[in-house]
Amino acid sequence: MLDLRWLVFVPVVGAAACASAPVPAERLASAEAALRSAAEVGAERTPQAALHLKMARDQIAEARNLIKSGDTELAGSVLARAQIDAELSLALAREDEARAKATAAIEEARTLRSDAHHAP
Amino acid sequence: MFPRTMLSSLALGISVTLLTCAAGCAATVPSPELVAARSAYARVQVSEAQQLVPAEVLAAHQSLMAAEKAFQEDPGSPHTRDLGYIAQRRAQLAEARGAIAADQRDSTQAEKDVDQLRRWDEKRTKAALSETRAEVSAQATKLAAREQQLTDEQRARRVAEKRAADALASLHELASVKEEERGMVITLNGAVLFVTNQATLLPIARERLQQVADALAENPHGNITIEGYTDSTGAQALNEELSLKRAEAVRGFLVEHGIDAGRVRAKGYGPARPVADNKTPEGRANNRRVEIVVEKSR
Repeated sequence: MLDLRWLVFVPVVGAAACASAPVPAERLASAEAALRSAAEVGAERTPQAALHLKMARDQIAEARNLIKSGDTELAGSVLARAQIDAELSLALAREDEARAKATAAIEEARTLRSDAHHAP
Repeated sequence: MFPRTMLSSLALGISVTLLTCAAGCAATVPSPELVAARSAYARVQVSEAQQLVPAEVLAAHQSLMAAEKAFQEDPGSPHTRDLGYIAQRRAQLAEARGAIAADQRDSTQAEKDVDQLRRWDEKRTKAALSETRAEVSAQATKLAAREQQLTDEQRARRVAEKRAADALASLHELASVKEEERGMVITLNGAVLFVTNQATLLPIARERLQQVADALAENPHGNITIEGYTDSTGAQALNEELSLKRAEAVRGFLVEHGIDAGRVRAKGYGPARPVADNKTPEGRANNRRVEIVVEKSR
């Protein structure tokens, strides 16, 4: 039997092939929203997350200029990069948080376990 | 969600295509973006992301494939370079999300462990507390039982004391009772006890002596000496014999009625130790007597 579920990813490949499909204004709004989310989660505090946050910010600024000068196609490409950098920044910031939480929980369990071994 | 066999066949397809291209096209150096994308994807493939966020890994793979295809078709174009950049980011994203999933799994497990450890600790504490409470309760019960025992003993003692006291009090109604140095002396008049000049107990005497026996039974300490006395009338020897026989008659009665034989002895003093003047009839009557002496036990 032919499994066709993977076809759901075809639009992703298609969109990557035709970079100008969504309107730059929408892409700009989307990239800015992703940037804000990353900033809210504290991406600036983690080195890797901060790096991609800066890249996204710079690319958004560049895209604005390109839109102003009428080069919407190039603006679209730049925004595609900005979008993914912002998403990566957000994920890296979240990962940092999740790791801290896991470390703390593991440490607490370790402490309780060792207390239990030493209990009278 | 996506069968592994399909991923590996796709990978195989790409590799074949690349080799075919490498053999047929001019040697082309992959762009830095593509190189970075390939290496980022290789890293993700061996990470936990493969199991934890397979959809993300697949998206990264799709992205890489698009970049590879673009590179084949138009190696140097900005579009190709964009795809390479995005493919690298997609792989990095999959890796980060995989790490988040792994951390969340570890957190959840650790939280479960903490919860379990806390519950065990609580159980242990409760058990210890229970044990302590049980011990305290057992001690309290023992104590209460001991107190009860003491109270019962006290009560029993008081009852016995009262009976003994009552018995003594009743004796006073029957006879003259005096505390002397030699002990408690119960004096019974001879005329009340015996037929004249004989050692036979009168019926009424038996009644009285029964009461004396009961009273003595309630006071079971101390040896008893029964002393018979007469007045000075008549021969001393006869009087001594009569007084002894009378003492023995009383002794016999008491022993028959519950007094321990080993405790009682009889003596006859005859006219000796008069308590009254033998010259008067009353005096002589008073001298004709039996004394029951109960030694102090202490």
